[in-house]
Amino acid sequence: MNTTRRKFLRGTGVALGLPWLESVSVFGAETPKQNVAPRRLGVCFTGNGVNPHHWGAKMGSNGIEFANSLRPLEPIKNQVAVFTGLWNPTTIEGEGGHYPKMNVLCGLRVKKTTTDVEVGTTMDQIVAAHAGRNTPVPSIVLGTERPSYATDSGFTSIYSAYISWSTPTTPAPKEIFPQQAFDQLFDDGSKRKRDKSILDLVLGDAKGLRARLSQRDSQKLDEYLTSVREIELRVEQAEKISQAETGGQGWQPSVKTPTLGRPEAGIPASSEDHLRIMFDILLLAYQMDRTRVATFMLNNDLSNMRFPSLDGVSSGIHELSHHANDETRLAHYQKVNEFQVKLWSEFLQKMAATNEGERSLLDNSMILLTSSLMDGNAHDSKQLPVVLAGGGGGTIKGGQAYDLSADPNRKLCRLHLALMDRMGVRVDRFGDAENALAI
Amino acid sequence: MSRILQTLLPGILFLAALPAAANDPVPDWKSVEPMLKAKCYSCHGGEDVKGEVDLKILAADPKMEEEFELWHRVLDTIENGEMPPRKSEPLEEAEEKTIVSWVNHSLDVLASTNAGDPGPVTMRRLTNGEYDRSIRDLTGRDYGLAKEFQTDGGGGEGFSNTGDVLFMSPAALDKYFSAARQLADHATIMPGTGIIFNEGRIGLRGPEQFKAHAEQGLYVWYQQKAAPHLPGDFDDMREGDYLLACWKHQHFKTPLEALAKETGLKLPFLQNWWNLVTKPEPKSRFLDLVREPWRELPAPDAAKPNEVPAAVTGRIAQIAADLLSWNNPQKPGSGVQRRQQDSDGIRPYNMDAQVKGKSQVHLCFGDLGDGNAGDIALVTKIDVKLEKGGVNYFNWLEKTIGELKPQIAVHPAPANLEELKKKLASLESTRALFGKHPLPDRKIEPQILAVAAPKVITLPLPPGAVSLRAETKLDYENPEVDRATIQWTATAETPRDVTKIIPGVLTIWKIQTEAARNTMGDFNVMKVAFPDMMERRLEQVARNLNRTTPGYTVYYFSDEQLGKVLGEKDRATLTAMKKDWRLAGPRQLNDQQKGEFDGAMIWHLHQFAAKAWRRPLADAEKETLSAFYRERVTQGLDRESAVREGIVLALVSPHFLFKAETLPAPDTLTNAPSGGDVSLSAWEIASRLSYFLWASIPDGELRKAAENGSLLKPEVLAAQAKRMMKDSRSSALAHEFAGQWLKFGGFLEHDGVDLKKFPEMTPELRADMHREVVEYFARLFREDRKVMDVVAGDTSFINERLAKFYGVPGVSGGEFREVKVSDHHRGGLLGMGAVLTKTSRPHRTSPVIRGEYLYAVVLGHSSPPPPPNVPEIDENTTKPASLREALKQHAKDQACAVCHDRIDPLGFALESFDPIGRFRPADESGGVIDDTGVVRDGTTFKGMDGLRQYLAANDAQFTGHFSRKLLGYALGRSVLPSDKDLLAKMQDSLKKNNGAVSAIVTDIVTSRQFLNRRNEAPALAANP
Repeated sequence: MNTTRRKFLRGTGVALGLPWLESVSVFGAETPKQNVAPRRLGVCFTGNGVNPHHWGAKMGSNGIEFANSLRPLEPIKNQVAVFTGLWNPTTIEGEGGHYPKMNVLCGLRVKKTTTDVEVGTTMDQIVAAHAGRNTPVPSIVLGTERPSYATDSGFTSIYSAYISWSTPTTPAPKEIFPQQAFDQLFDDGSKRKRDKSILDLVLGDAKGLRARLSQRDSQKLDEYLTSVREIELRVEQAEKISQAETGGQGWQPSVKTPTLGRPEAGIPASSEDHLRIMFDILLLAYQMDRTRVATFMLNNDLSNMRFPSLDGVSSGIHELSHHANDETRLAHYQKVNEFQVKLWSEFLQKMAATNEGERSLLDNSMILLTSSLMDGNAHDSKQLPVVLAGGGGGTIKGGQAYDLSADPNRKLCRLHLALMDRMGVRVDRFGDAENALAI
Repeated sequence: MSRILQTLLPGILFLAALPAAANDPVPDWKSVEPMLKAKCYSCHGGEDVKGEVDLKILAADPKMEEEFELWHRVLDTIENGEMPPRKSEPLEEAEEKTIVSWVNHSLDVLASTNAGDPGPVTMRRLTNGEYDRSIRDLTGRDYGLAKEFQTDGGGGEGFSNTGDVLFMSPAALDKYFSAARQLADHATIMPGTGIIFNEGRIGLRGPEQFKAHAEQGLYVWYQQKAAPHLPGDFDDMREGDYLLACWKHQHFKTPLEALAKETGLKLPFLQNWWNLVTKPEPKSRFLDLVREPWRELPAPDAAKPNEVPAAVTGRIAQIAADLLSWNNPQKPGSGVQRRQQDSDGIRPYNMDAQVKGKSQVHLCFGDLGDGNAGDIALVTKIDVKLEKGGVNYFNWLEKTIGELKPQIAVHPAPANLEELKKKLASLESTRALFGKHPLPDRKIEPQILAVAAPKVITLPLPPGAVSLRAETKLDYENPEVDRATIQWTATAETPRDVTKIIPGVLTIWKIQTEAARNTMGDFNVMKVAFPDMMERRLEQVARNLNRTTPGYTVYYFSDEQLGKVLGEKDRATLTAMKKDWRLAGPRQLNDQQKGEFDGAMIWHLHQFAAKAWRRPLADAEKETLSAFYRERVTQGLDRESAVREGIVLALVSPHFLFKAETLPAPDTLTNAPSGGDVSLSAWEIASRLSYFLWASIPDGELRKAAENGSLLKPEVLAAQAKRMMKDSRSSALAHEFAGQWLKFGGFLEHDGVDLKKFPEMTPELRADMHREVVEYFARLFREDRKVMDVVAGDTSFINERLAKFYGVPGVSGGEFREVKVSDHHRGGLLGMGAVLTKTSRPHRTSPVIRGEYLYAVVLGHSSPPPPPNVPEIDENTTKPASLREALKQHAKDQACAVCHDRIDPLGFALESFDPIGRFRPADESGGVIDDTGVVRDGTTFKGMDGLRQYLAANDAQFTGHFSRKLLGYALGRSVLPSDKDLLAKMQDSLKKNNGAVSAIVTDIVTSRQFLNRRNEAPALAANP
């Protein structure tokens, strides 16, 4: 197989595979020094779809009206847009109920393989390569569950564990440990400075090794080389940013030091606690402007996460999603959906309560909630649940329900284009879409 | 021969398919393609590519090599009747036969053309499991740091050790950095002993800490190592035997080694004794008490030159007794030897004697033979204990004299007058000794006895005297008292020579005088030579720390002696620790020492890197590391910290994190033919081997075989593999290979049990269940058991808690042991709680999940996922009977039956186990459980026993799948058609070796696939 050609075709529509290449056409005034608060992007994901009977919203006489599962969004309903009918057409081409749909953030086909995985660079990572230059951490990728060791019907289960891919063949590593996520975000960079001389040497090591490797192996080593350079870059960046901060000009984040203690090591015993602390860490990261781009998988696809605190719900999510139209299971499925939306909403409300001068943090942000399926029972990906919260720095009108079911061009990547555009990344096409959705 | 065929015909060994294929005429592509065109292209070609399958684009060339998986699938779906779908026109029987035969044949051709192809193996990063184990074997401690790394997923044959799915990212590298820093912080690095990883964090150390580490380390080490070999308190130290051996050595010229051997003496101590008695140094008058009498021992009789004269034995006994008289045999460390320095001349020191049955006692005053200046003692009070009561001796003397006088004066004279007179004279002369000072002009109380040494005063005793105590002190008023050194002692036996040192008797002096210091110094020499306590003997060995020449203690080891006693490894440690101390001890080092210090630290860093990188370092790499170290030191880092930085470097280097297998060096590459294989180097093979069997770095023995190249010989390789399987590290196969394949790896974190319904499922029980499976597979490899035992064996490894839970009697205690459980519905994997629980719903069993697990995971049949939008059957009932009925209904639908007919029967057979793996004769509502399974070929089996028999009868299915999985795990890739021959060979070897797992391990590690890599195109120019 011609790897080079494949890479090219699988590319993202822009000549951008590696984060340090500054080949994106950039517009707007997203430079580090200005007096306006920056825009933030976030994608929250839940696996196994949602109960379709209680999802969605429509416009009523008093504005937006939510279906049951979205009710927890009432307090911020004017900062929320609900989309019906968006989808990734490639997901229905292949066989397989779950894995082929794990392309929510790039729209490209998921390669059926148990080894050389391939999807596409996702929109958050493209934005991170650009907007990430202005923050100590380019982007944070959070989650709560590990991938499992398995290959299943010709796919590797890796696919179900990642929504962010930093290259078409490399998932962006996901952090599931609260303490590690905290350290990654709020480390002052001093440790890294000591690592710099070591980095120089291992870079030399790796280059020497590379010359003696096969082409296949060298591509693996390139991941390493990229990582080394990336860390070096961050060291330099951390130095620059700290100089700029001491300069004291322009916009400053509203929160200067962590308002959250360093979490304990390990993973919280209850899923609910785990989700809450990850949301808190994410909130703080935005508040302190440690990063402007984040994705958070509330659970993996195919996850059997359980919420024993929800009354009567004892089964895991995946099991519930195969409700077989059983009323009890449908009801439990909905309860879990609503609970996840509730946690998400609490996080959004805290963002709304964070004042960043002219606007709130939520007003400056675009936070998506989506899944790779609609009705999990049927593995239905002909439309996806998509909710967008936040004002995008005054560019998005909230309190809207968009029904695009009848739109012939209802590709989810059009929404991604719209969000990327607002994050300062202008590309002509992305994934399978060529023009941004008007929102 | 196709895998699919194999999966469809369980029990028929796939080799059987070969002759059939060979006998029939083989259809060619030209005859097959029109059939596909007619029946398949409408859905799988051109506009429509259902199921991602496009056959039309292959019309010109089936591209078997690239598309073998697709063709497998075509075969699979045609054979199991899925394709063409019911609504479409079916294949005619002849057509189906032709297509199947063509695909089978083509796959066979493909397999044999490339047989043994190493296949595409992408460079593998260490998996998290491998990282932790490598660190464990590198540091000697299990730090478990990888648990917070990014989790690895599965690829290839479903294992995490597949290169393609082992990613590297900035965040991952960050974690490797952080882990490496943590590890380096736990290390102490000394110039001699090198890099040692400690349980706790060490961190930055100052020069004093560094020095103390070296000093204390060695001090403690000496004692720990010497203790088992030194005589302890209360041990018979055989002084006489040693003295006699020395005498024999002198006179018979018998070598000391021989003497030690024949008399059971310790050679080092005999050597020390010999030195002591023959050498003049160190000088000590107290030591002379041993040396001189020994030297004066008579030579053998001229008449009997080979015998030991009786006089020698007798005198040696006396020497030994004198020596021991300094000690307190009841309480080591409390005899005269310890009290000598207390003799200050101020307080009285008593003379004590047992006098029962004696008529007189001798008070001995010795001058130690060093002149008697100042040696005057004042005996202030003598008490005599009688059989009844006691008396003051002086009073008794006065009183008895007073009584005797009238008796003598009476008339007529008593019959015993002469006797009385004699007695009176004796008493009077005794009394005359009292109240008189040897120096003129000194007045003393009448009852005081003042004596100038050397002198023996003999006192007649009162009748019935039992013991005597004389309170005595040094005469401090004596102008010459500063020169005093005096001993006093009372005895009823023959008095010792008072002009010499009296053994075992306290010496009295005035403190802080020249005389005191001289005597004490002399005395201390003897104390050092013969410490009276075990701990002081240990201390003497420990003092080697600061010695340049060996000590003269007798029961003691010099470094050389200790080294001989302990053996090579400890000798090396001793040398290393002494180097630590030699270089860490001094405040200032000279240039030569500095050079030695840095050289040693660099050497250790090189050793560490070579071990971590699993190969010897190239000269350039050594130079880079050396320069890195020197640069850190130049920048002001202490030497230890500089090595720590080097450790971090080694552990974040791609050489550690990736198991790289390199192409031939560029200069030979130009001549090398492209394509074909590249033989792996011995070092690369060592790594493949150790990561296959241990998921860790090679050990010393394997390194040796790589170093001398012997590992390239198949018999050495096979022997190494067998050795390594026996090692406990092969339990990695249980955790990683079996754990990932059979999905029990995450069982400890598995939360799929409804704990409200099953409170019995405690964390302890869960841990036991996990341990059972791990133990089972660990023993499979370690003890080279039969592969078929996994599904058909009749034992398991359980402890008391698990046995009780399973209802197996007669197991007590917490340890896991092998128990025959086949009489209790168990045996092997399928009867294990972990598996039965893992394949259940939280609150009830699921024959579908259990069946699917057994069918697809354990036996390796391909099991397509249920099509979307087919509602799963309502399994919501907890009644097994109604569940069974519902499943039967479901399977009536032909589309569902395709799979469920194969899956469900296997699950039904396990229905007698509840959701947490307990045997249940009846369901919750008391309903009878039907645990009968009927498979498609009509075979019926009942329950666990029936299932195990069924599996045993069809053993090739399991052993074939086991082999395939193990091969995929070993190679880190998916199994390919070209592996067919190897897999067949493995089956054959299993048969020939009674099913023992080592047979297939040997086949794998000596295979072309394992020992080679594809000669692929070299890397393109590096990234910008």
